Amino acid sequence: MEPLSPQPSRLAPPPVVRLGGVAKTYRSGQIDVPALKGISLEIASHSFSVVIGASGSGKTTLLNVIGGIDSPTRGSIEVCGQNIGELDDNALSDFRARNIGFIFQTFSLVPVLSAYENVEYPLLLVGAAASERRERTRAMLDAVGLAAQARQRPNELSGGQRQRVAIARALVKGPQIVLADEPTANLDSATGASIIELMHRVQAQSRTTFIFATHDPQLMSHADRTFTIRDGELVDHRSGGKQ
Amino acid sequence: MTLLWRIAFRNLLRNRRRSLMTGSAVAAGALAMLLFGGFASYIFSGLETSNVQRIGHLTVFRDGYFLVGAGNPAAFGIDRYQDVMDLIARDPIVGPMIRVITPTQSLVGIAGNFSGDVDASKTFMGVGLIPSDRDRMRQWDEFGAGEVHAPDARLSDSDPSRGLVGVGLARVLGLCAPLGLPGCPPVRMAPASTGSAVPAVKQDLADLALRDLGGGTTSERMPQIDLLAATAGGAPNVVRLTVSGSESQGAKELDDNFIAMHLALAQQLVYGRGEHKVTGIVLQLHRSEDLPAARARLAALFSEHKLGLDVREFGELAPFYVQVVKMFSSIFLFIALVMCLIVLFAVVNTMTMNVMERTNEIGTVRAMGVRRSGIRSQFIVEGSMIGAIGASTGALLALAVAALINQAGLTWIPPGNASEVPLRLDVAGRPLLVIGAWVGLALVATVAAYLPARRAARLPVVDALRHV
Repeated sequence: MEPLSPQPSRLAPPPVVRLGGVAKTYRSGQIDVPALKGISLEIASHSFSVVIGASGSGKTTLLNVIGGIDSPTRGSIEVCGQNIGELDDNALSDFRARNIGFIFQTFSLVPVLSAYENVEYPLLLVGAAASERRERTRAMLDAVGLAAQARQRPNELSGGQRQRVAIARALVKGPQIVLADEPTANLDSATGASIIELMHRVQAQSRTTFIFATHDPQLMSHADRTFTIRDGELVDHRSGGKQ
Repeated sequence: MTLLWRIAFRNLLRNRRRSLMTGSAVAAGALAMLLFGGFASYIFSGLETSNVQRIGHLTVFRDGYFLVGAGNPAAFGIDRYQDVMDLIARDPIVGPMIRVITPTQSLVGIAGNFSGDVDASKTFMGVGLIPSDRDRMRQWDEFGAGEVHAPDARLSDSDPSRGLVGVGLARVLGLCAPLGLPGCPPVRMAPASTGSAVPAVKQDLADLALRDLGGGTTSERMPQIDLLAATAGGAPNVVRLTVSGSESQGAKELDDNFIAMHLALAQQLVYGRGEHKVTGIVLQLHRSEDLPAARARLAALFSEHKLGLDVREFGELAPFYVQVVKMFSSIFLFIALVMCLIVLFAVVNTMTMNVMERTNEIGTVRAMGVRRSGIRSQFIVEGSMIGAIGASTGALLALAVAALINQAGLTWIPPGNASEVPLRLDVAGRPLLVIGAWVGLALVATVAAYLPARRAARLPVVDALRHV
């Protein structure tokens, strides 16, 4: 199955994600529920890509298999040049620790750690030196405007601040890809807009590939590339975010 | 503090009440184990001390005496026992371990009191000893758990005629009044004999005893009894013993039969004018921990010199001690087992609830790249931390409670003892017990956390992330 995305030009950056006929079927009791039906696509490096679709269309599942936290029933997934289907659980964990950042709809910060410690956590996983951890964590908290809240625990922060911490946590290790599942869904529109603006700015600075699953029109409007999924199938892809 | 420990500690604080309850269960377990363990240790030490004060750590016998010699001690005498004692004392290995080395003579016979209106006799089990050595042995108190006896003036190296009898024997022999023993019923006199033969025999025994002693050498105020025994050659022999006091023995059978006397008097009774031997050489060591080494060395020494001697430990001579140790050890084991089960279930329950509550968090950190082993370690560390904190609290409480009880001046009569001794809980003096209980409970808590931790580690990441 050919990928839906066009062949990259000589000048275009190489794809950071390449899916070939990826299918995922869940089993609910005696019934097989297909979530993805043979999706093939490529996502270029340094892009700000959006996956859209109705609830239950398979957006989250697509992000999960790209992120290596769910395995496809069939098909191949190449991320950052690595066929992640070949990796065992430990290798896959290490791969995620090095290359992928996650931003969740519910922020999912570790509640017993301060904002600073939450941001520092991924650097500990990749074995960064103490001085480097300190420097990068502070810089990232500065970048998301939370230097003053560094010592506060998640329950002492607002929803927007928590999502900023989550963004800082996802980016602090300099991953190749950030996967964000409905990152603005739990925020009011003003806060959501500021978060989108922040992510866009950070993406432009870090040249990290952002892949979002979203319903948020504001977020879609910032996309370099939009993928539309319906009932587990990729039905459209286009450059830019205007639908 | 690594991130793992930091997160574990903060999660314990996050669920304060739950952690407190679980930690309390561990602390209660440690408290119960240590208090009982401290009590049992004190009993062991007390019993060991009283036994070692009485019969030493080791006793050397002629081969066969331990098994069949009690019926005829005279036949199992150790020849040239002073040479054997010198050999042992001069040995460069066992010599320095020895605190007291002293000969002893066991004997059996009949004791009779035929003075005045009294006419009573009773079989006895006697022991001949050197009074000054006995005094030194009774001052041994390695563990600080026994009663340190002052020198007993009732027996004297310089007066071989003196001896002590069991309180029961004193009653039977009608010695209550002269010895000032309270609560004695009047002695039932033997019915008056119609013939003249019996009084004549009694008079003969008394005369013989006086002659063997070479006339009266002791205080006339002390009662005297006659001891009849068979010599090593099988002939009857009689000596007169001046009863300088009575001493209650732990068991009634012993109390009704016991006589302690000077070694010389015992040897005179058993060996008459023949070569004086002894049935045993008692060794009291400075430290009980030297016992196995001393025993092994003695066995080698006797074998090397082909002496035909046997060495026995006090536990073999006083099986009651071993039985008490086994009984208390079994009870301790049972208590420890119950406490460990309580801790096991408490920690499993707590950690299972923690895993359920933090399922989404588990999914998040797994997505970030934490390995399964990292999740497993996280919960195991939390379980072991609860165990360690609980066990530490329990140990501190046990030390405090033990100190309070030890200061309270309570007394009790241990099994086999005749008099009250202070009630003490030996917790502080038993670092191995404290460390053992601490490590055991912390280990149980760690093991208990393993199952929930394993379940947490095996959660599929996406399922964990979906958990609300």
